[in-house]
Amino acid sequence: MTLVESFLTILAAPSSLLLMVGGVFIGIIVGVLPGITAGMLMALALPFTFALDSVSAVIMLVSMFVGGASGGLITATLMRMPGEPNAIMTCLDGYALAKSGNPGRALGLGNAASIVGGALSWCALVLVSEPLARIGVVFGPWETFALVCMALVLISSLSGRSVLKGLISGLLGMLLAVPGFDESSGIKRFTFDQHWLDAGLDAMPVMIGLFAVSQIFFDVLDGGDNKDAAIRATLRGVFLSIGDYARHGVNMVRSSLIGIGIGILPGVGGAISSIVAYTTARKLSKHPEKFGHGSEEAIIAAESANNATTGGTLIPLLALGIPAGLADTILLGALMIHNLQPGPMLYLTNPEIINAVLATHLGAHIVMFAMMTGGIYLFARLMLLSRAWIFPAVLMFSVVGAYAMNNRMDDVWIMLAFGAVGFGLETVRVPLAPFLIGFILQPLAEKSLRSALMGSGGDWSELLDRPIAASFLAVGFLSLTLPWVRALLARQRRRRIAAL
Amino acid sequence: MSERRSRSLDAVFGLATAGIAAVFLFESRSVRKTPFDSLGAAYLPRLVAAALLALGLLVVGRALLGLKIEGSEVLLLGGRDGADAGTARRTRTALGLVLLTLSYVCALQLADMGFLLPTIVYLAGASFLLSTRSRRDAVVAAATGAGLALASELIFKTVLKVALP
Repeated sequence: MTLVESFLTILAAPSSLLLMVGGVFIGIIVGVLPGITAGMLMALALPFTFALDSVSAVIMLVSMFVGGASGGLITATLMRMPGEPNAIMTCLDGYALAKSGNPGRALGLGNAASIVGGALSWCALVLVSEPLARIGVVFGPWETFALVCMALVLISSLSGRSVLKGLISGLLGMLLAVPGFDESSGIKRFTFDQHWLDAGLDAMPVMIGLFAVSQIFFDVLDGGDNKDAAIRATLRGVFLSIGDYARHGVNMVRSSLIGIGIGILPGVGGAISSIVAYTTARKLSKHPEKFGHGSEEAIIAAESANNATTGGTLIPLLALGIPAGLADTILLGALMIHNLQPGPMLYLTNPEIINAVLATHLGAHIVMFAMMTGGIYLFARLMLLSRAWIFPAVLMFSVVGAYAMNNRMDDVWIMLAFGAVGFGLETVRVPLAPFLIGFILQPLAEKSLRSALMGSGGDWSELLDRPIAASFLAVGFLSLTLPWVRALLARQRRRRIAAL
Repeated sequence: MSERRSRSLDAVFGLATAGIAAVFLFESRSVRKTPFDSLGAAYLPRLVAAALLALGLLVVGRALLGLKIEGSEVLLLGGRDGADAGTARRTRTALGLVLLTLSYVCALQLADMGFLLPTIVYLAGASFLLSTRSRRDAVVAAATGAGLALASELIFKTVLKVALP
């Protein structure tokens, strides 16, 4: 069965179409609700696939994956609550634009960028999956470690005018991710004899506390009853004009390519792709000063890259049988349950499965775009409601979200504690995004560094011998030093002018 | 924010950072190595803590020397320095919300209370606290609280099969 036939079969069969629409819908809902990730939903849905044939199982799971990756846009934009790490960068500018009275525009931009990112990643999935997957395999632990370092430095240098505070924020995040059992050796470390720290700190309560809880208390203290904002808030801009697509086209394509490229790297995921796309967009923007203050380019970059990652992560799974993230691992598990082994042989033995994945990936993005467009009108109205009704609900969802991940009340207290940490950091004007990125990337950084050092017998110089790793480090180093060099040159220029 | 206050806050932040890093460095001595792992589980944390200690001390040094350190551009808080007539009321409201939220979490921790009742009380109480506190607001807060709590229980427990506190 060809791809076109497979696509038509899905569209023609009511059960397949229903599975796709239902999967995307539940995925979006789960993306909106804090505490439940797309990976978690797919894991919960896995037992239901026993009763389905393998094609239907793939349709349902891929649809949930696409819906879950997109739903986070809504809460990140309207409540500054990233449902998943991928949505952190969207929080920065999406929330600022929505708060300035343009929730419709903020969501519309994110939605349009999502469909473009998804469609381009689908093209990559169909056309160049095998050569791209081979590039992913070339990535060793040194390259992964260098990529994580680069992402951390990039976000630190971007989040504020002080690289120093950004770096401290990122390193603090890394350090606080350490307590608990060490993944590699199984040794308990940095728990300070506190048993509730044995399992470590989960990313979800930390994320919700830092961004959502601290935001609410800041808003309450800051006053500014949103009566004024409600009057100004507009739902215009949900649909992008052709001019908008033309203006942001290059940014969309560039960010999508970044998302696809980073998506194929095992274990790296959408958070890094959003950061790299956001950074690149800012570096190349004519208005870099608008980034962090509701920049349209920033939202486009973060969301295009985020959705492009969904296709990118499927590439190594389909072409080589290597899962690149949690969602792919669950998809791999589902296929194995149905006696199918992803990899090059699957193209020959079961082409209908490959075609179903490809057709569903595109179809689910189209369904997601339609649903999100309709839903945006509904969700954007949240900005028109008084904060008296919104804030308690957000806090309640935060409590439920923090608890739902591990069914532990400790996580709720951790979330509240990180709300206080977020409040404190923002008071001293320390950016929160590097903290969270450091927290999330620490396990990957540690795993890859230890694996690399064990391979090299503790020799760090190998890091510079590998061209890809060395280039990542060079980019990180340049973004760290360039602001200082620029400031130094500007100071010298001012002195020369003053002397004249 | 005045320059002086900003520098004092930076110094406190630098000290706190250096303090946290020092605690982790000290604690890293008690992390043992295994025969299969020559680097040990404290290798990266020690590197990060050392870098953090240096950077924290750098912030303190700059603040003490009177050198300005720029901050985040994405500030949530606008103009909190300029205290206006509503500042005291807003601070009381924020403190009230903190207390209410802490009480809510404590109530959820009590096994007998369940999810529904504390959530209804919390949502109604917090909504009323943040509203203009008229009689109409009280009625709307109670109705919203009950509706939202019931809907949440239905969605999470029945539809999504997610455990609630």
